[in-house]
Amino acid sequence: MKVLCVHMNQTELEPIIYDAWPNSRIVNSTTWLDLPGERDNATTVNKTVVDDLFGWTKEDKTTMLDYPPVFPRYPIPFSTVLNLTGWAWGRAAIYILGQGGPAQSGEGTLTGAYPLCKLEVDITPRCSTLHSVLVSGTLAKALCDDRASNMAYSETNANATTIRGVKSWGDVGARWANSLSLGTGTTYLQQVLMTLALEPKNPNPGSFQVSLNPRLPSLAETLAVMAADTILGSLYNSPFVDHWVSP
Amino acid sequence: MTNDKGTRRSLNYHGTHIAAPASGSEDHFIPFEASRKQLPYHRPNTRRRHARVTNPVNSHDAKAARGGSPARNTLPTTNVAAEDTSRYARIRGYTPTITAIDAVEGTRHNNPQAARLHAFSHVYPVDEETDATLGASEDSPLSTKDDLPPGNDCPTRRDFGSPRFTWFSGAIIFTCSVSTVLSGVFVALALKGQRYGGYIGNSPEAKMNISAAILWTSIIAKTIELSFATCVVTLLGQVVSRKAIIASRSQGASLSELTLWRWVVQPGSMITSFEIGRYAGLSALGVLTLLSTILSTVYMTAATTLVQPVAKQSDWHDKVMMGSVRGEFVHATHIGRICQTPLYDLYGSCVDVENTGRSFSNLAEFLGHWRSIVTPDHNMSTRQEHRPTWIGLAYNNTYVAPQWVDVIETAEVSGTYNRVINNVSLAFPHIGVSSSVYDQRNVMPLSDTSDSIQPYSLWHRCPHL
Repeated sequence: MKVLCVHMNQTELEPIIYDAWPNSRIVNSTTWLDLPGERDNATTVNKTVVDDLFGWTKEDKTTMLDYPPVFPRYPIPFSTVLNLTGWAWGRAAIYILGQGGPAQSGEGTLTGAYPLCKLEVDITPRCSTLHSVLVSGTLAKALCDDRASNMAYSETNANATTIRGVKSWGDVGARWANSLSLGTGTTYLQQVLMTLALEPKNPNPGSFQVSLNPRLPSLAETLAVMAADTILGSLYNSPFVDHWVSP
Repeated sequence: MTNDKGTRRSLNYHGTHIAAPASGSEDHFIPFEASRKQLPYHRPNTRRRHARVTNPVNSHDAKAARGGSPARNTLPTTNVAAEDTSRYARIRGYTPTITAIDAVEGTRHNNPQAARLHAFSHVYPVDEETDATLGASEDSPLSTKDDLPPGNDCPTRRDFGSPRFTWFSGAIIFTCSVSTVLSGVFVALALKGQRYGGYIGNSPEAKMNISAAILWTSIIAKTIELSFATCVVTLLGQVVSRKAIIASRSQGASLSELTLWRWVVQPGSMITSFEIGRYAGLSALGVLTLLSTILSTVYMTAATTLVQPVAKQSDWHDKVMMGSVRGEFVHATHIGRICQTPLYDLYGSCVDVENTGRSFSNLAEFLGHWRSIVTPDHNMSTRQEHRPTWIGLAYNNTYVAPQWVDVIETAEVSGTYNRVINNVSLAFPHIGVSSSVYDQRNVMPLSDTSDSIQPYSLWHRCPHL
């Protein structure tokens, strides 16, 4: 499970906020769905400042899967909006755009800071699972890289590589985000998530400084943990190899 | 010196006997006093005698207190200087006196008490002169000299040597062989740390159940222990008998050697009868017995620990596991199929409910975990790999512990782009392998097939998400 959250400001978001486009019609949660073709075609060739971070290369003119997502409007503080689908089926990632609010500490604010998060799932061959049967239950532990020692999948399957972006997870992730109402209204969950967005110690460009909060989990960490069950729930009776073998 | 030695030999041979005192004291009965008198020309050659005479003052004082006659002190002294007879000569000179006293030599041997009573009639005249006779006692007829083999002097009713092959010796050889072979097998099993895998267990496939295995181990261990003790005791008996009979090679067998065998059958006697150890413990036989005692005492415990099959954690060993595969990784259709609901689930509400419930549960656990480990004086690391992951309960009572991977330096990357970049990757264990534990084809130890629930671990090699 990979979560990438990048903070942007209002101007930087303009190219991918439909509401901010010059010729846009007024959108809200109802009209966005009703606008014929608007939501389904919600992508753009607009250039953004985070294209290279998110990998929006905009090269695939047919499926437009590597085009940036477009959100209907700016989220209000402590809320989030979603972009879950691409123009064609097969986009592996889902996107969550939110806006921070006044900081918990009372000092500084994340109002006006828009974390844009991309959730995606890879399949890695560098890990192993340690399944321990204990007296009080069982423990399944992921051991990766050095901890996997010679039990990593790649040890016996030399050709195995990391599979970037499991496309079928796009559907699962979309379902998950909708279940949690991350795209509608302002829920308590959205507020919790936006509270956990990282706050830079020094927001000035040039001497920009931010680090993980030693007293709080970060937004990306929390999203990864929350979405855990989209993976775990589907692992039962799933393949033990890195590809689907048709019966 | 020779005097003392001779005296001890005499003691050894008879066990409890009569005889000559270790030190020259007038209070003791000296059986040869009479003979000295009867043979006026017998000239005992003893340095003791000589020494005493040269110091008459003490002798006089001592005798005076006991009413001895001082006048006799000087009687034998005249002969002392000239004495230098050989042992042989002394023995010959002595022999007739015994017959003169007791008339029947056998009486002295078989009934020393009678001999003593008889001899006591000579005691009263004894004075310090009796010391002189001690020189003669080293050549007692009771000592085990080469020319006095017990076989001749103490005739038994029948030959106590037995032929090499009898049913008894055959049984002993058989017992010792059994002991050797079985203990060899046990040593091999213990050294190898034999794994029995599925052969022993409570599962239907097992050839032997665990309690039977424990019973058989105990039976065999006890057999080894008993046969070993039997062999050792027999060996001790043989060695001691040999020592006693073949006098030309040794000095006979001591009482403590005769009782050494009690150590083996009754280890507690090492403490209660420590005298045995005092006299025989340091000999080769004593050390051998001690070793055997310790070995036979700890054998059962050692066998239980090292040989008795127990369910235990072994080293890692490879095993190919099997599991059912019914769908792709993270596929919506597959997830929908797994989700259990009694409703006709047209819109996949089951998955929605599950997503919502589990996600909030994960969130609550994760935040709760943070709250419990972050205290005013204990912060988490700002390095991603050291930060807590969520350890939550998934399915089948399984705790899930993921790991942060592909760690990026948040501060560094964010600094490069001049914006907050929070990028994490969480690797989850393939909990699908849990179901392989319950897959009957894999024959894994489960709580209902093992009499002790031992923790074990499976380390799976499979792709991860």
